[in-house]
Amino acid sequence: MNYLNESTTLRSWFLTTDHKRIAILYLLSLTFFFFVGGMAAVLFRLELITPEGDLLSADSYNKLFSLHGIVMVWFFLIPSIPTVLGNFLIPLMIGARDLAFPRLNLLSWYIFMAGGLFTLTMIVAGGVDTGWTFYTPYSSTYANTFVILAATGIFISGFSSIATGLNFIVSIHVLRAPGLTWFRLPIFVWTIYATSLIMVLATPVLAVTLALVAVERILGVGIFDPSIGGDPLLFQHLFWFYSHPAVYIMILPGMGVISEVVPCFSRKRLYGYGFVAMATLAIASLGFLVWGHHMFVSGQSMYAGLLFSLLSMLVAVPSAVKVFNWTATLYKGTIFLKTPMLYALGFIGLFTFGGLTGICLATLAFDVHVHDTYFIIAHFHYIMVGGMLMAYLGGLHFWWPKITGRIYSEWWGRVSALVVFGGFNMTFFPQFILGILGNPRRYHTYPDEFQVFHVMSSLGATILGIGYLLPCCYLLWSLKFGRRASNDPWHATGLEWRTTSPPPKHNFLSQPTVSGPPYAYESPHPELVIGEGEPEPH
Amino acid sequence: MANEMSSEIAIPYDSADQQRSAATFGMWVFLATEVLFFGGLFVGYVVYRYEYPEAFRTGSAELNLWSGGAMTLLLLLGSMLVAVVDHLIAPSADNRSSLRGPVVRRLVATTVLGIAFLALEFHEYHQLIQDGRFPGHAFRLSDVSSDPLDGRSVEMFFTLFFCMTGLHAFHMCLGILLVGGMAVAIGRSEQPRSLANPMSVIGLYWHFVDIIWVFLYPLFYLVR
Amino acid sequence: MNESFSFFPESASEGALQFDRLSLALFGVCVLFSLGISLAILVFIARYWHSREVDRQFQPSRGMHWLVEITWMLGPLAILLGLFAWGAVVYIRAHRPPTDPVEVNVVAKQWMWKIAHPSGRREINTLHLPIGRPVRLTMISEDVIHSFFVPAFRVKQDVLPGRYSTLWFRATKPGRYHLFCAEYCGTEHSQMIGQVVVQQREEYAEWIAQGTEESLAQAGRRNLDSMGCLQCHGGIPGGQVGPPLTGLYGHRVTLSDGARVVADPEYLRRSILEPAAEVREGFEPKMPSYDGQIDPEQLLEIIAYLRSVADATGPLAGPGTLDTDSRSPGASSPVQQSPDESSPPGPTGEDDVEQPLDSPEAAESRSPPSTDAEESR
Repeated sequence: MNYLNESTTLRSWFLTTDHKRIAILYLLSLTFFFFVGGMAAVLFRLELITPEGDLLSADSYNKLFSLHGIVMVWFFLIPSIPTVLGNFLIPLMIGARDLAFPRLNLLSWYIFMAGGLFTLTMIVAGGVDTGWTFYTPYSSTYANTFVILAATGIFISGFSSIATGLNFIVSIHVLRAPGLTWFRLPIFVWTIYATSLIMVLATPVLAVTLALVAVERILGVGIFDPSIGGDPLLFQHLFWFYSHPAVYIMILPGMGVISEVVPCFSRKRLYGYGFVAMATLAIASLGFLVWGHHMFVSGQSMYAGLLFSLLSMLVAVPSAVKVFNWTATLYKGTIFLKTPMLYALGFIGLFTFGGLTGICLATLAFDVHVHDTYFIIAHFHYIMVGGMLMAYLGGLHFWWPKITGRIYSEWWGRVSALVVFGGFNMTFFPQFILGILGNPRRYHTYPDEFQVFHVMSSLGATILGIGYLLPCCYLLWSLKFGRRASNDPWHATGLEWRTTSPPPKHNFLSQPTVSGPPYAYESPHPELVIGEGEPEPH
Repeated sequence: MANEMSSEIAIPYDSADQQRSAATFGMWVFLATEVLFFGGLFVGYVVYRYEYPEAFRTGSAELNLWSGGAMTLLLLLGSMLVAVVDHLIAPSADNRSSLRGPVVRRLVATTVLGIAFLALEFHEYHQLIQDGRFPGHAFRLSDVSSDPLDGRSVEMFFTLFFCMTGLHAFHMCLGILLVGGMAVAIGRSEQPRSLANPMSVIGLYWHFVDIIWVFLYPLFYLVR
Repeated sequence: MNESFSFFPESASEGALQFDRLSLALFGVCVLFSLGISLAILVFIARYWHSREVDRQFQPSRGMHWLVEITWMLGPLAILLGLFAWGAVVYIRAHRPPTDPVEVNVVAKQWMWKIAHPSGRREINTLHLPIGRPVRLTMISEDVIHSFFVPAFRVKQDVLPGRYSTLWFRATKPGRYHLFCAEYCGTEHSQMIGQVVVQQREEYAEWIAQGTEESLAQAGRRNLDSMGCLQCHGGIPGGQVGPPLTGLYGHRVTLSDGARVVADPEYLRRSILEPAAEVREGFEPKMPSYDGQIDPEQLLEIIAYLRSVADATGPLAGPGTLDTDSRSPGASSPVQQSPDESSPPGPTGEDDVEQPLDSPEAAESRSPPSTDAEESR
């Protein structure tokens, strides 16, 4: 008996308060939204193969990139690791039977789906063409599309974020197993904790901002539109006050996953545990102070620009600390290149490059030229797709045996990791060059001389797309045909591996206790085999 | 959240104590969210007050100082009653006599005070809307003063006024429902003390809504 | 990754060179660290592969551990602060206003750039510039936010509605360069593109003189007249209701609340659209708002006119030669320092001189001197 088969009715799934089942509900819905957003990307990448607008009209192009941004940011990236892996793992990792408020957890999934439904309705009704940033006064006065529907969708899903974050914070504070002190927590728990803080503190500001856009649209009152007395920069300040920390909502949990995977496949303690944990909190708190670096050319004062540039530079320090500590963890380890490890190493490479280009962007004079060009696009895709998505897939592979009780095909796993890594670089590296050359973002048509890089990018995107389809196939296949996983197929530490795979309904048959620091890996027996699963019984 | 507050120990918890601290802590985190929720609007208020000081002076002269003062008083009184209830019902209080009557009476009084607050607020809304102060196409200001003030920035004042007090009123409605619900629950309960936990969480929420008003009142009514 | 080094767009301004140097440093840091990390990972994988027999004893002391961590915090921090400082210096330099620039007005709207030169010559989606002279753009949008972006100059500035943004640069190389709108502005965003044409000085002088009858300053004066502004702002001694307009532009003025502000274009614009917000000391807030009665281009013309009389003194509205002079900036005193030396002297409306300016009829009759001027708008 485990959480998957203890009851199989549809009702038992849709009314479940089990955090593991809710994680599965999220996994399915997020996969759906990921492919919705992905399809949009496929279409506009096809359009961009030629400089002219021959496949899509300007309007459709604008609606597609807006759709891509809105769906990917709010309905995939922000919820991805927290709601799927976080939901599944936090209670297991802290040795609890469930999250602090199980019914609130289920409610937050319904809220999320309601928000998603609004957004889908918006798409069916005809889309929105403001971009995911909803800059005023375009969004509040000029756009003739379904801005209010889209904003409502995001507004609603924001409450799901808040509820999830609140649930994690309280659970981590109150429900830790005996002996599990703060500095014995796995880094994944630390990162989810920091992420939750951001969710709780930043999301309401976005909610209010979008509500004000709607008020302006409905009543025609100038809040952000200067032609009727408003201030368009106020919108940008409020928007980025949320949306910059939101970037850390997206990347911090990814860092958490990497901090679990790297020690496990190096068979070594995470180097500098305390520094990594504190760096997490430092990133989360500094993240609230740097929103102005999105506005260097917006017309804010020069001094504001200087201040935000300096603060943005500071965020790079804790990020660098993390990268160095992960790399140092490999030193004198015993390294196994299993699928999750390949994804994790890919993450480190892509995140490092994304972060370094972020330093370029924080440099005032450089940003002036590349702001709102493809350089920005490339930079944040290196962080969010190269970073976050690699971490998400890596985490999914790492905990797949725990979630489903099955082992997937290792060969296919490695192939997919390499294809994703290669395809990703081919898609987004040329975009750095495009940006430096000065191709502005959100351009439906572009001057001929940029074509070669767009073609490369579109080719890469095709490979990347295949890379994403692969895991769908072999992971699904493993559900039926994969070998059964043992309780701890990777010989990993951490409480989640001290229960059965998949875990029983209330996680542990007896209350686990903790008596030492995390990542208690030691140099292994030379014949150690990991990730192989149990011999097939049938 | 109210669902999470049943008196028996829920699945994730080991003890009633743990469950109580989770509920209280959860409410505090929720209130932090709320502070930021209103915070966005307060930032808007600061920005536009700085940009249009004249208009804000004109706008706030339109509001009824006394009715606002009365509303503040109602809320503060309500908060006091809730605090007393919280004290009465706390498990540590050694008052062994029946506490159902006094508790329910105070909660009902709080609800009534809250409703009176809303009544006054909606009365003021009604007046303002009739005078054409509701932002939007029907907005007009010509009868106020002969100052060649930009009517639009006064409209901004009223936009913020309606948004912020409206959001507060929405919170008041929830608060009244929660406190009223609590009164019914305690009235029916055999063991009112078992409801101390949800009562204190709801009390926190009620105080928070009060405090928001304590900021709104001076910002809109008093600062002229 | 090294290819990207040669992938700069053409550089055609002073700022571009500084930018390129800074960029090379930044790319150097990017490559150094990402190669360093990648190499370290690859070497560790090869060396500590699970089936290899190597020494894996690793027990760093606490002090050693802290030393390592502090080093890789402070090391990057030093580099970051250096980059910040470098970027800031270039940025601040780019914000220091030039002396004696060519003042060009830019009005953006969905989806075109409307450009007006001081000589009165206007163009759409093309900007002609002389080589080697600083050019300052005063930009405003009629609708949504746009962004003026010339990759070859490495400059970009958002163009906001309801507020002037300024941008300046000095072109160093003749040629034609891309002009892009960089801030997403709606359906035809990618069509809001144009060209910047940098010309040798003589070529530019020739171009700028073609087909203009009325300079921007003259057009501004005409706007002032036709709206009757000078009835109050004419600066007639004794009888003035509003502050005089001569000697105003660029000077400090005191407001009724005691604040002292510089009468820059943004202040002048606000004073016309929201006169009650900032009232000059010693004057009554009597002026009605001109919001909605004046389009952004006219407003910029008026500012161009005020700039042309920035150092003048005396009344504007009185009968006499002042009027004549003010209609031909670049001619004689008191209107010195015309915004652009290359702007041709406009036609001197000799016949206007006799007409008193104080009466509304006068303002009416002072319609443009020629119909061509009207067309050129």
